[in-house]
Amino acid sequence: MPIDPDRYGRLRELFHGMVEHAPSERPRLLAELPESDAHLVAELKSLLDAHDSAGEFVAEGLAAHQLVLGTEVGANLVGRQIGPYRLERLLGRGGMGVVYLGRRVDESFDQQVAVKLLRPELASPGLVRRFRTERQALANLRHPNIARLLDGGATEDRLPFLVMEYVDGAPIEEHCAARRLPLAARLALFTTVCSAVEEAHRNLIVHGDIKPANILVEAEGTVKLLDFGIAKLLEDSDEETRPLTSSAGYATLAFASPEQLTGGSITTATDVYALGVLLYRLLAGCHPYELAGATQVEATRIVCEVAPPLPSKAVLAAAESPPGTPEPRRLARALAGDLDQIVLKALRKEPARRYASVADLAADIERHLDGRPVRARADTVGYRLRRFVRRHRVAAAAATLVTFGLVGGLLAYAREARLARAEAAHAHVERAKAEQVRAFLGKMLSSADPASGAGRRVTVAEVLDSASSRLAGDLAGQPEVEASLRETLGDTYLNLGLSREAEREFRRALALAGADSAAGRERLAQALSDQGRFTEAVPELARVIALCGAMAKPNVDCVEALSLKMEVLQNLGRGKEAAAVGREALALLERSFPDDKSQLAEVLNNLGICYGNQGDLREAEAFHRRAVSAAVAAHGERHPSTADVIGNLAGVLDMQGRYAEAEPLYRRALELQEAIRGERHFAFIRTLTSYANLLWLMKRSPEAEPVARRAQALALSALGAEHPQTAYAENTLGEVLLDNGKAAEAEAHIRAALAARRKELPAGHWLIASAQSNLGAALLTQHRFREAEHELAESYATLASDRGPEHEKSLLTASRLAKLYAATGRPAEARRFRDLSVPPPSPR
Amino acid sequence: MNELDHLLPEVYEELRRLAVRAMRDQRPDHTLQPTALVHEVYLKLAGSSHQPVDRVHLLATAARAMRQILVDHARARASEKRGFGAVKVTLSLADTPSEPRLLDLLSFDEALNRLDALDPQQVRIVELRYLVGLSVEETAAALEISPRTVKRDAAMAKAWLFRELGLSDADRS
Repeated sequence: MPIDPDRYGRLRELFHGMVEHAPSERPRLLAELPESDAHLVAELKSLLDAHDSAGEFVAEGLAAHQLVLGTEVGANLVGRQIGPYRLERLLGRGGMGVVYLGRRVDESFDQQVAVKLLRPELASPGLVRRFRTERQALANLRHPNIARLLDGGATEDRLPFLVMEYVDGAPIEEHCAARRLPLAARLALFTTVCSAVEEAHRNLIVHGDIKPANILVEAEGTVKLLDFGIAKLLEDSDEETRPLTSSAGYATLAFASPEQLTGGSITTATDVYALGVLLYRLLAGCHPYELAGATQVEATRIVCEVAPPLPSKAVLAAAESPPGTPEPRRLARALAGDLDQIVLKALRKEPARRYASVADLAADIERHLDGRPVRARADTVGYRLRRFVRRHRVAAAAATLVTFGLVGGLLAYAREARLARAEAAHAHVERAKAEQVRAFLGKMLSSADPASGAGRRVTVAEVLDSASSRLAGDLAGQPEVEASLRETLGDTYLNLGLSREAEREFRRALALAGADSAAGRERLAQALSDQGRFTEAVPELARVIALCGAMAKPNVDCVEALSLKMEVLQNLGRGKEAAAVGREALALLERSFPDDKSQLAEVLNNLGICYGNQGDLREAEAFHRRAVSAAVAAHGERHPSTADVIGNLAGVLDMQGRYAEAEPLYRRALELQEAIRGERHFAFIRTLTSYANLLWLMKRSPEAEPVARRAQALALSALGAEHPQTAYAENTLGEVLLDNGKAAEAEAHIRAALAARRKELPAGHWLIASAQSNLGAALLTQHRFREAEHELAESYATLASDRGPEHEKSLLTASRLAKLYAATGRPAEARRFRDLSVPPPSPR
Repeated sequence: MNELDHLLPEVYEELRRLAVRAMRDQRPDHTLQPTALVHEVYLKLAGSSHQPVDRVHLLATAARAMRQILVDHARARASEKRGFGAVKVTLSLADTPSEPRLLDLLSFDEALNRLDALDPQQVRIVELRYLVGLSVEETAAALEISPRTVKRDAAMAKAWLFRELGLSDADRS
């Protein structure tokens, strides 16, 4: 029946009545319609269905036309000059606009560049302004595998543009296909891409739009990444509504992560995901998801909910494998296991479950290439164990240092760096040895594969244990190979936090090696130190230092050994000796390795901590200041080490009562740490707590409250209730709440801090007393005088004898006691404590 | 013939003049961004006209003019020999399996004409919302109807056009 305006009008009434109801309610509503015209009801149903899938097809369809028209106009820009660049030829066009080959006209040297003219609707003043501020960061991004962003802004008629290094190359997938690259070459190329992305992340720049079209390979094989940080720049400029274009995500739908599709926050994990998609495609030759013809809504659902098939399975399903790789069945065998797991770990839906960094992803691929066990598989087998161990190791390491709120985040960082170096050294074991090691470990791992096992889940530790017990038998008569294998096992145990087992392997390796090795003994010392057996670590380290001293050339191992020795002595409470060793390390470093600014920053920072712990705050400050300059020289400002040393400098100023100087430094450190390490990282939580404490000290408790609350919540969820840092955060929050007149709530937090400290610290420690004093204050405010008196009196006794009666905590506690006695009608005692609460009139 | 139709040729010419000038690469940023164009035309007409010009009518007129331009352009492209100016897309849309389908402008225009015969208000809404770029509220004010009606009418028009253009699932299978 042909439709006419009247019927359409009737249909419109019905449609209006239905369209605002949920689709699930429709069948009921349709059934209830008094309408007798069955055709009309069918028509209505069909329109409602169309409504469900139509989305914004009109706006999007028109926007795409606009783009096409716009670029056709742009084609005529050849010959025009933009900034100092003359446009020579159209290179391409795409979602963002058009790209021209340009040439600089105002310089004597001949420079070819790519000039990108962005879609006019992107020309918000906000974008152009943000671009100016970001440009420096992007322009500073210098890496052989990143096409540099040279310039950008808006033309006089408000057309935004970017000028980039011109790259004459083919997209990475085309390159792999055209050169028929085998698997290993594809992996090598991929790790190069990773190193470029890593460099950007070190500079706090997220790419946000990694895909083959943005990764070009030049004729001689150099990889170049394009458009760094630009995707994010454009997306963030989106405060204004753009009714005609919802397309920022469109071009990249196929590579977009779940968080990008659902409007979550874009972090380095987003790049890890996109790299996972790329790796999948390079290895399997197909996309992880079937997205062809899908609408954005469908694609979002698929990407967020559907688990991608293993690359090895996808290859089997495909008719042919990528050019240069073996035929599907053999390729599937090569991918099964390590590579399957690596790709899947990068592609996890939850950002937190992916590789923690691009470096970790690349390292796993290198482990695979070296035939060493990959982390992605450890993740599936020994996941719980490792998490358990890691938690406890951080707790153990932090316990000794947290006392001053100045913990060496850098120390932990240095250890990671040392492990990385140890692994790199391992990679260079002579070929023959490496082959045998590889074969052995391969055998071990295949026996640990849950799929091939007898159905029982095996932990990584069990695999290592069984490897350790089989080593002697399997490699009888080859002590060198056995020694190097035992070192590898030891490293792995150390990484897992199983330092006792690591110690066993290192000792056997040393016994087998015949000659004494400085590197081997240093690892042994590390294993001992990790177990808290500092006294035993000292002679081992002395031996390492002696061995290094005997070498012809100064050795960087020696600096590391000295650095570790300083840490160990520090932990033994032998601060003076630690300082002396630190100075020795510093002298050696300055004399023999003046260019190693990174190591220098580490040593200076540790010296600062060391002097700080001894109460020599002036000296500590000087070291921390030097550490900041060294870290900036070594890494630039946007680097975790730099962030940590800035935080430590803030801490030492804070401890000297120089709050106004400390405040901006804390803020800077927080900004950097949050951006680069994330809010759940120990270093960030520590600095946040110190900052809340600073605001409290500055009598800005209302401002401190949200900061302290955040620090406490993060510490509790990321570090656990028993961590010393959590106790510090609880106590700080308690103090702040107390100031803000929320005594009952304060009491709960102070009690939590007190419980944790009683568990962690020896009875009679002044930090316990300090928390007790706060508890007393909370009770006092609630007029629970008897309980308050008990806590305050006990606290004062400890503080006055341990810290001295003039310590700020002693003075504070005395004033609380004075208040208590005044309130309970004991004027003589009140007067006595009021006198004790006044600081003596001595100059600071 | 109503006031709109009187104005249409004038607006169209002005729009076309701007477009042509832009194609000769005088002011490329001004070219085919409907919103900017329509506003510019509006300012010109409002400034030069002897009688007060109603913004609503002008916008509607301009929207229809834009439709005309897009359609003319699509026709011209359709008659072009393939290959000319076919620059390979290498930047962003390449290798994306799900790039947005381009709307077939000629069919879209015909479908709009059919809808105009059934419910002219829905067509005005589509033009103002999607060709001029007005918000729901602005469209409502321009047509003197409630924003809720704009939303529901726009939804129905889109659904109807979607089906009419053979894009719904039933049509594809």
